[in-house]
Amino acid sequence: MMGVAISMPVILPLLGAIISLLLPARYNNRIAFIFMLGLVVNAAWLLMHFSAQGPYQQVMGGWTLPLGIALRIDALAIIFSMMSCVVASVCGFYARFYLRAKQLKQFWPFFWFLLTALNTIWLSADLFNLYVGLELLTFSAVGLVALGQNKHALAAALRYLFAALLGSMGYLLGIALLYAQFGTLSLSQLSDAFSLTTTSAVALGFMFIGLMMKTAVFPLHTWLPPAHGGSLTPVSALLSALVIKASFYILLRLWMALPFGENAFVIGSLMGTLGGTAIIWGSWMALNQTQLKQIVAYSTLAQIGYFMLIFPLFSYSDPTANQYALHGGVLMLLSHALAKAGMFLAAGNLLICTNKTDLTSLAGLSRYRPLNIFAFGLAGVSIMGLPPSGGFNGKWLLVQSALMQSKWVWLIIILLGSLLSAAYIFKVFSYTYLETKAGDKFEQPSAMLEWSALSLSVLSILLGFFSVWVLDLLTLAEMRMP
Amino acid sequence: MNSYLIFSYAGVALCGIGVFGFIFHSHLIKRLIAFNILSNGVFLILVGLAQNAQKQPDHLPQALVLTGIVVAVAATALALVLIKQWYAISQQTTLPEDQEHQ
Amino acid sequence: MNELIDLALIAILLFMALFSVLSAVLFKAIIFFILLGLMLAIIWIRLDAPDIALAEAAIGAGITGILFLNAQAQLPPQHTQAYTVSMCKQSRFWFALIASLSTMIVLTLAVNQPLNPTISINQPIIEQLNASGVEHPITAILLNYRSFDTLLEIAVLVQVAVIALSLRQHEHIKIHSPTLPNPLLHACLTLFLPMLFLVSMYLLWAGASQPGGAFQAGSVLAAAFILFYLAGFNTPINNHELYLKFGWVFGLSVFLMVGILTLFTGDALLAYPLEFAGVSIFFIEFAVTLSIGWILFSLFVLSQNISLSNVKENNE
Repeated sequence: MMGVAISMPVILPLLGAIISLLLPARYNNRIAFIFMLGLVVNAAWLLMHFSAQGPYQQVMGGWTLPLGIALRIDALAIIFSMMSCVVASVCGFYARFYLRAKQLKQFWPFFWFLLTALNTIWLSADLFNLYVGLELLTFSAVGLVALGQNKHALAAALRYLFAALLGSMGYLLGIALLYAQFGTLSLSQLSDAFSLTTTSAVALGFMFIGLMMKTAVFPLHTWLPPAHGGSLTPVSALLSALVIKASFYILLRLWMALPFGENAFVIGSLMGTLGGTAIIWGSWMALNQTQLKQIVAYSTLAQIGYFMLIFPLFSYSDPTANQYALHGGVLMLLSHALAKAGMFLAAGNLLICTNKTDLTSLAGLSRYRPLNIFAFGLAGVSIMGLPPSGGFNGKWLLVQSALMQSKWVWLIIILLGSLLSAAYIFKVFSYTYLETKAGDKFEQPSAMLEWSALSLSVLSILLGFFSVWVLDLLTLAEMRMP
Repeated sequence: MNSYLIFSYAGVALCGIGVFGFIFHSHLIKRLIAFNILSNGVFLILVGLAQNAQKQPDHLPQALVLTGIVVAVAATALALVLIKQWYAISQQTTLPEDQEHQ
Repeated sequence: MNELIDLALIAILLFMALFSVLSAVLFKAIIFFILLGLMLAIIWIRLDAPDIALAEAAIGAGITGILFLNAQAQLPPQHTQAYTVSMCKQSRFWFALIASLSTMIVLTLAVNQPLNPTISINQPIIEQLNASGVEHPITAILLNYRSFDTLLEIAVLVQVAVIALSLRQHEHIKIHSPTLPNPLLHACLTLFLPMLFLVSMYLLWAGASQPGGAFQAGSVLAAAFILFYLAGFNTPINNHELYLKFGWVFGLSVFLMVGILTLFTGDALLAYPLEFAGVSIFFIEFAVTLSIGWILFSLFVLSQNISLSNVKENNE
């Protein structure tokens, strides 16, 4: 039974992709509904199994470890697959009402391949399998970006494809060196055998750079704003909320699985520096944008910087501080997924209202389309890290961790970044509150679009109240660690 | 020095040439050729170095390279389709940010 | 003596790579790249990897080369202009040079270390071969031990074909076949095509016990399709979206169906029951070969005349 449940997150979307390619378009929505429901139920089942019996690992094909590919269920895997289920469901629902029929027909296969790749990455514990998963993810993301079909979308897709290809080559080069050194591809076996030598250090260097390129960590970020800001709205939401998380997740997994010993401090500080720069740079650029979706895209750059702060704060010196750093980081990742998807969808609705992309045309929207502004604002609360929201709890834990270890630099950067993010979000607001004499000249997006954006924003706030559930899961995993 | 190790070094050199071409060329197809050279270098290291460590032919990295070659051809085909579409729309063979460099 | 052969091969390989990267004319760059692929095929044999040699010759040099040449032919000549010496004065040149040199230095440091892997995976691969259903270790890895990788990889191929289709803005635009009404070509074709199909099926069949397998067979099949198409035999199948899609997902569906069946018999994805392992693998390989051939062929056909159809549209 467990074998079925653990492979379902990969099989169902793959089946969905095949069906959506073969059946006429009119069945696609129904199939999406049934399969997403199946995925959610399956994820809930896995969650129950995990909280009752702890982590579970299965090698596919019925082989033993060095031979086969292992899938594993643990706290991080569960949390991330739940997250992708929820966000992808809402984005799919939004796309159903947002895209034109022809675009929608092309959207579904990519959506399913994207979900297959994401779930593979969450579950797989094999380095090379993760590589194939990353490639599938990249290609589906590129396909989604190119759905825009105009000049900007194509240029963004090409730029993204080339950056991602270079990133995967870095990752594959790392695999080559690690395999030669340790003779295994399995993450758990590697974790036991690992020691930091010249070869493995170079390997990890290439892997980390490659993965950071795919995550768009400063200064390897230039492909992100055009790709995320210039795509169709549901695509932007999927890319910003889920796709960049995948390569970051592998980075986090490697960091947690491999013992770096004394060197953790140096490597962590280096990655933290990149993260810190990303926070300041991304927020500053967001503040200077004049297009709504570009602001949201640059805000993603800054948020990636916060995720990177996990590394300097999680560096083996103090177990409690480590725990806070990891918990805070995971909460940040989760709340960003919900809030950023909500924010992109809300921004897309605002664009439907005004039919223009620049900020000045937002004037008057607060009076006439309050629901969309409300959705945008709630997501903004979580992005800024105001209480009560998931973003606040995450930042709070990161701050605590920095305080415990007296790492003042990161503390200052976190606070400064929050101020800057408040600045760019209130900047958007200030435009919407401007009064115009023109009256209600705006379009009305359909209620489904408005409510799906709002639902994600509300969830990102609710995460603030239910953070303790997520943290319990993580603690459970730590206690059960052998 | 056995042939496995020699060819790993050849892989290193191919990687270097590939990285150079990938960054240097703004022409998208040339950049794609450089990517293919880079990936071939990585494949050589993957098989050569592992076999050098094991002192015998190692089947696993060979199978990985087979997968890698197919993924690389898929990537190349995708990039070429995008490049041609991009050319059809913009009459350019480079990305917008690279155009002033020419 | 052997080392001399190796060094000579490497010298030629690196010259090809350098010519390919530095050549000013795009056409030359592509030709040198194809030659590089052929050199690599020989090198893979020196590395005791005949499977990769076959794949490199068929896919790496063959199909990739065709795709590159096909793309190059559709770009106008002024875009293949020569680079001048002034390129060397650009910051981009120096940046690329520094990045390339540092990559090589760091990699050399890493490759230079003595390696003593504690885990050997080769041992279990050979030991479990009896339980895998095939006699050739590489096929056993690709379709049994690590079959999940291969499943995802087929998904990658299907995905790329779908993107290529989605980029054609209008489904009703027929693909204009470049006809070459050459009687000699047609005469050769009647000779070549059956042989290509035979080679493809042989590679597939041989994969169970010796070098060969679905990827190599699929790319030979694709070559046969492309030859057929270039000779001007345009079948309606190329132009109908549903036929295209059905051919793409056929291999993936069979693979996935077998996976789901084994899930209920063996409680693990793609855990074939021992007595059916050989048969399952053969069925999967057969279906996957057809699909790979069809996908590679479609990628060639779909990128044909993309520019033409759109340029016309922009002018209207």
